[in-house]
Amino acid sequence: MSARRTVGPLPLAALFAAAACNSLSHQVAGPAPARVALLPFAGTLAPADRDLARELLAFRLRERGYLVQDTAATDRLLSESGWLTDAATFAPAAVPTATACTRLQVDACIVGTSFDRLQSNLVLWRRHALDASLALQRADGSPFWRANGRRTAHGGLVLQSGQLLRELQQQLDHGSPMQTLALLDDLIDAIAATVPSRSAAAAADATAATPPLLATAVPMPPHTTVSVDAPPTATVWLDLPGERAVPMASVGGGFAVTRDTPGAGPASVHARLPFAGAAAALATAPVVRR
Amino acid sequence: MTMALVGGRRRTFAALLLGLATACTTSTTHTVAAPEFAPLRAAGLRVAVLPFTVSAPEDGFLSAALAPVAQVLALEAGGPDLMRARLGDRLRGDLVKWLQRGDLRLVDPWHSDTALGHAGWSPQAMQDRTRAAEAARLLQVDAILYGDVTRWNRDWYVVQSTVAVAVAIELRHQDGRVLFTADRLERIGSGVTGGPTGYVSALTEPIAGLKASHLEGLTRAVARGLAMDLGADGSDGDARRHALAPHLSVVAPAFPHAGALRAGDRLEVTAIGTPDCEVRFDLGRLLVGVPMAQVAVDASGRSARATYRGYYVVPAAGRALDLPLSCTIRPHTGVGNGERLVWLGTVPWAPQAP
Repeated sequence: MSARRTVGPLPLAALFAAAACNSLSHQVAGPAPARVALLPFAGTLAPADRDLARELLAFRLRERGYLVQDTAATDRLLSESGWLTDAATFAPAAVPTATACTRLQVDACIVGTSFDRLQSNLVLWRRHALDASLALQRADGSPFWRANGRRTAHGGLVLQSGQLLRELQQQLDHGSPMQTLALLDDLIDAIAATVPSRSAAAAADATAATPPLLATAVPMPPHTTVSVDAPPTATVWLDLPGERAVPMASVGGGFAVTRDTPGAGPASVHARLPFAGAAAALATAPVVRR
Repeated sequence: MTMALVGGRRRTFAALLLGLATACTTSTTHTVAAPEFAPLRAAGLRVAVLPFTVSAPEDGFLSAALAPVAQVLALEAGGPDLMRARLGDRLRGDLVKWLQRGDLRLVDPWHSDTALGHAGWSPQAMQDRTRAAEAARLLQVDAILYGDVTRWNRDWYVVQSTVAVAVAIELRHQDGRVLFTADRLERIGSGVTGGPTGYVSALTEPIAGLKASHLEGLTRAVARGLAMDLGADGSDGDARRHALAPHLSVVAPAFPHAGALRAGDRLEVTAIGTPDCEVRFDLGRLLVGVPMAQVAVDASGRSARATYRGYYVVPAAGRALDLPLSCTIRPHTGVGNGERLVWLGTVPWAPQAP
């Protein structure tokens, strides 16, 4: 009886570990959207790791033929709309997809919820897992794709099926930041592979040339306001003598920033269109002083 | 004859096992850095990463011999040919993503591709290392990083399988000199070299080891490893950089009045930290990287500290929004670790109404 009690947990642990292995499920419905934006991911994973996951997914989706909005532009537009205050506590469920798609000028949004990290190590059995749930929702609210995935680095001296040397090596890596990043990388790659690919030609249809920028500086001593005509979804910054890369805020149909009047010297504005990767995605113009 | 054949097989098998004994899970790297690389990087090396070439040999033996287990060997995204064609892009993209988390100042690949494309460069021309100086001039960078995928292969020996990915990178200065090279090989062996086989069959373990996911995983591991090779400057270099990492001790905003900020209001932010660094503040994700200027340095204490000040004029008024305020400090060179400090409070910003 007591022998049974001693042995009992091992098969249970083995069963549990087997059930806690890598998993991935996804659903796809209807035609693929072209332009997508990735909303900040939510979950218990560290904010920096969630940001990394978002960038990795954006990169993978671009590879698969999607026009993915520059995440900096997405965040700025979400902030301007009042949906994003602190990215660490961002709640994607509170964002109305239809309105957000209109505001972001995209066909669909990727909503990432429950990016979570689970970790335990009992030497005989160990597990380090990352979970993620993602959905690509069209502007009309209908889901095009959704996926749930888990990546687990699990093992232990009992469960590693005799690969003793490898297990000893892996014990050293268990739970390390690099292992977390590797799992995250692996998870995002697996999830991205379930998104149907779009053809490169379809992606190219929206690669418009960068419109010419028109930047003007109006002195209002002791300040100077620089205004730029640029698409509202662009990311725009200003270089002044002594100040580099001042972010510009969206005002009306363009961008503006007010600075203390700079000294003599060249000033220029730079704009990056939201779908990075497209040809001619960067534009630069000198500031015309009035 | 038969005996001789058996003996020869035994010797071959023993040699194979010996050869594989080191191949359980290995990561080997060989780096060579020119003497001027470290000082150049410390001065703030600006680097463009050009498209990678793929010179890995064909995986002929594997596809011919193990066709019956194609389910195990199938690569995830559309078969080996497609994967192979996109491998260079994948590794380049991965490497850039990891390098962006490190010390080098990188030009976004889309920017370098666009600039060179507009200048009439073909993809082959971009991979031509003899044109490094020309490319650097065109892209206005200090150095060009080239890469070549030299291995992306799998081997199966009945009781043992290996999956290997190797990439060689070369960093060339704008004058054409080679500043840094690294050859990195990541390999997983499955089967007899994993240790004494237990309750998983000695035959199924090697086949399981050939899973495409292993190859994919190694591909990403190589990118991460190369980024570390290129980002770290040696044994004591990391410790030295950590010790010299700039530090922020105080971040505080100054509001012109109580309540939400209005159009035309000037939000001032003050930070105290290590002197002679680049300091910027963020208001949530709405305004990222507003520059701050060093206005004073106090060298009277145990260590010098500087006061930085930045400002932003509220461009338009709308619905009030409580945004977090944070500051980031980095060395002026762009090289080395930075630090981010979050102010415990929120700024009652008033963004433009949608």
